[in-house]
Amino acid sequence: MEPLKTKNAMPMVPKKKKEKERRSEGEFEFCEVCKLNHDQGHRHKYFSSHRRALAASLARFHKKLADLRFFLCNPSPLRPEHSTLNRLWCLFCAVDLHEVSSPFACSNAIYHLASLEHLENIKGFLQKNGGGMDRVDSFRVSEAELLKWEKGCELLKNAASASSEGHIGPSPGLSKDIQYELTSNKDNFQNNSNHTFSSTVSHTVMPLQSLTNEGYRVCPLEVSGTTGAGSSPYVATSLEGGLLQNVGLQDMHAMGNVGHLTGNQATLVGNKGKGSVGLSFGNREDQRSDSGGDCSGVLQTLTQISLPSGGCPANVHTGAPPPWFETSEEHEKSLTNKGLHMDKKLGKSRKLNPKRVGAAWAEKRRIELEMEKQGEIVAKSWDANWLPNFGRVWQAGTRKESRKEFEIEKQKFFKDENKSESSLKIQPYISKRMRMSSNGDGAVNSEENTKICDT
Amino acid sequence: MSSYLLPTLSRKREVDGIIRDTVDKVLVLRFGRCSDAACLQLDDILSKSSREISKFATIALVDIDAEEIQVYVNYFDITLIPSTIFFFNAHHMKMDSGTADHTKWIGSFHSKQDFIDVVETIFRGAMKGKLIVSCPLPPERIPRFQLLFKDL
Repeated sequence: MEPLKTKNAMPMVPKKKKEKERRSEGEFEFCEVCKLNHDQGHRHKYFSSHRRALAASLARFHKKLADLRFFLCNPSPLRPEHSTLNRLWCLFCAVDLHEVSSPFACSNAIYHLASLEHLENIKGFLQKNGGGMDRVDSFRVSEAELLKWEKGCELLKNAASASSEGHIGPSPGLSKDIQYELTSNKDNFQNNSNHTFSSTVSHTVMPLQSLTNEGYRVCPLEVSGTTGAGSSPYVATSLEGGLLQNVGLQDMHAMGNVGHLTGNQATLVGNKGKGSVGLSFGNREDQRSDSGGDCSGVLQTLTQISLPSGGCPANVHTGAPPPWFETSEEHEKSLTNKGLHMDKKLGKSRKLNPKRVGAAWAEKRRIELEMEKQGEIVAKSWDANWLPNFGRVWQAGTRKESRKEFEIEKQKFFKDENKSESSLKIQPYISKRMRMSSNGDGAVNSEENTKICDT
Repeated sequence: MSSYLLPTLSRKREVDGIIRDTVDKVLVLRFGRCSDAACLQLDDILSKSSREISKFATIALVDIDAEEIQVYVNYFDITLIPSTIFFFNAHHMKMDSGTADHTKWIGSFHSKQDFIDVVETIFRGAMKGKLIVSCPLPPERIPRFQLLFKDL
């Protein structure tokens, strides 16, 4: 006989596992994706509702990451007023990523997405909820991308620090010794390379070399990597005017360097009369660009938009209302007018029972009255014989019949009145004897009659 | 002595106009004489309640002695005064008050509230599409009269 122990020596693990499964199946757990409690256990992640919810949430996260990847490729500084807008909820780590004190846009989020902890959380989330482990990399930032972004940030920092030392805009009031400051700036121009030169140029504005008492002309110019003479005809002509004597060699280098500028606009201030020229580099305020004004040293191709030729249109600076505000007011007015008109016409009738007494007549009459008020139609003179709908006391049929009867009676009454008026004639009484005798003795008999009448 | 608050009509054109221009409101036309005692009593009640029922009713007095009104006197079979006739959207509204004549209200009312109740009943019936309504007043408050057929 085999000992019972062998039979009983079955491994307890599968039983325990089964029991655990049964327990887990029986117990409720909360699904973060579907936002509901369920007792389906591991099977829940294969349900179609869960898959749909998961796909939707991952798609939403992808959209947010797409915005973040833009800043990853194009690092840009973050302004304090925009820091509150730059928030991200990490779906996998259940963490809210703020950018309160970060210098660059989405920097905290980028660091988080590149971290190991985030990677582990992604794997855990996808294992728990399904969704495919092959998509792990799409929800994080790789190390290469992070390095690239950090380099870009460093460049921005350097550019910002360099620009903060130089001039930002014309500042004649700050220092009296413009000439020496000019030379120091020119040294900066010579020392820097092309790309750094372009970045510094964007923020330094050279003071004017000579007085411009007369009107000056602003000539926006896009310089493309050619020599200064070829690409900047204005420079060439103005130089020929004889200003070179005033401008030093260092200026020449500056002018020459203009030719090497790529994608940056050099505005020339030329005076026709005296032939003097003032050179100013930088982004002028009247140059508008679609990419926005916060370049801060980043090279951007700016396109100039031509102003409307119809004088100075009303804008924010003049205090005019925005165009959508006016149109909306007009639209609202027209709507309200239409609405009022419609309400007047149909509002009451809509509320009133259409089966009420005289409903059709009331509608017609209401419209007629309104049109008469507006003057569209002239109030027509009603028939003098018009009579309202009336059910008479002794009527035998419908009200129309009673009205007909009344009209017939009226006609008869008028006829009878006419007849009676025509038939009435008052005449004196003449007896038969008088009439007989009157034929013979007309005069004597008449006298006798009168005597009889008197008595 | 006509009421200063209620319009008094003495021409057929005026009566026609007020019948046609009163839209979705009960029109109360009192046919009578301003010197008659019963008419004066009724006029008093009408003038006092005109404001309260102004939202759904309009009241006008018609002088029965006017020449042009005789057409209406014959058409409406008015033999006793005061006679009050009700219209809604140029349609005549009848009221069954237990009397022989359902086409008009003959005599005055006991109180202002009685008149308001009658007008309200007529309005409600008209809005439901009824051309004849039942009088809401108890019989003791309804004036009695005798109606003779062609003076027989």
